[in-house]
Amino acid sequence: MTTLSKPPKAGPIDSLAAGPREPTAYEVALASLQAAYAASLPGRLFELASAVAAAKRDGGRAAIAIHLAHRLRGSAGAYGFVRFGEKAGRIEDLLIALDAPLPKGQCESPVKRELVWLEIASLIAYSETLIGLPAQQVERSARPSDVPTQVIPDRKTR
Amino acid sequence: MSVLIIDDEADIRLIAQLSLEAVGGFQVHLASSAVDGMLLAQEHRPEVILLDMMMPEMDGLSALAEIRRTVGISDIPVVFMTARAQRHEIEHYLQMGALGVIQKPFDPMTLATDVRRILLGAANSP
Repeated sequence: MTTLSKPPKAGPIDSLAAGPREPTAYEVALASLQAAYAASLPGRLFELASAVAAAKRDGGRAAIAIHLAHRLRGSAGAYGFVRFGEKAGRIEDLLIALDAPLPKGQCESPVKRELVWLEIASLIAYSETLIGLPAQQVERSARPSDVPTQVIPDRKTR
Repeated sequence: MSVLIIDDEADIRLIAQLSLEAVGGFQVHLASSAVDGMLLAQEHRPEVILLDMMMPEMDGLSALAEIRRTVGISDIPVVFMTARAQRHEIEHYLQMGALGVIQKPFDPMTLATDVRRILLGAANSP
């Protein structure tokens, strides 16, 4: 039997056995905020998609949709959903362009407007995939609480 | 250091508060509108105000003008937070009296540093 006079120094394997460090209070709080935000994203996207659909029906009066997209643009990235926020920003920019009055004497091109609406629709569909929804699920979902809520941020926040 | 965050969006207030308190060690006050924010500013005299640019009742520029006109808080530095910050817009905000501009989305890990950098930059400018 071998007797050691003092314990051996901890090697790499011992450090691994010690497991990952405990998360800080900040990390715990951030994770909790991120989880709550992630859970709200399908509902928010549903709201935005509905507002966009209403704006299209109204011939482009998009104030509500612009406001919703703007909020997502500003907050999603801070919660780690960077690409989702970028898509919301693009949607906001496109809606603002659609909402802007035309310069005097210029005719509106219906084809051009339809292309912009199509781009917005595809951005919404892509955003659905970014938060883990199969495309079109948001539009089908009657209530935000019906959709899955486990979403992982695309930027690691420490 | 104390900071007042004025933003109509609860998500932004929450994560900015966490970031500034836990990462930056700031004392944070929160308001969801410019009017509430000005009352809090008079009560607490924060060292800096983080002011959302786009709010429904009173936007950031109007709120800044109001702050500058209000005795007791007119000298508090104001930093705008905005999701739409093109170069000409930033220049305009600075001309209107903002000390700096923080672009949304901000990184919660660096928000406190960004605020300190803006305040330090202002303190060191001639």
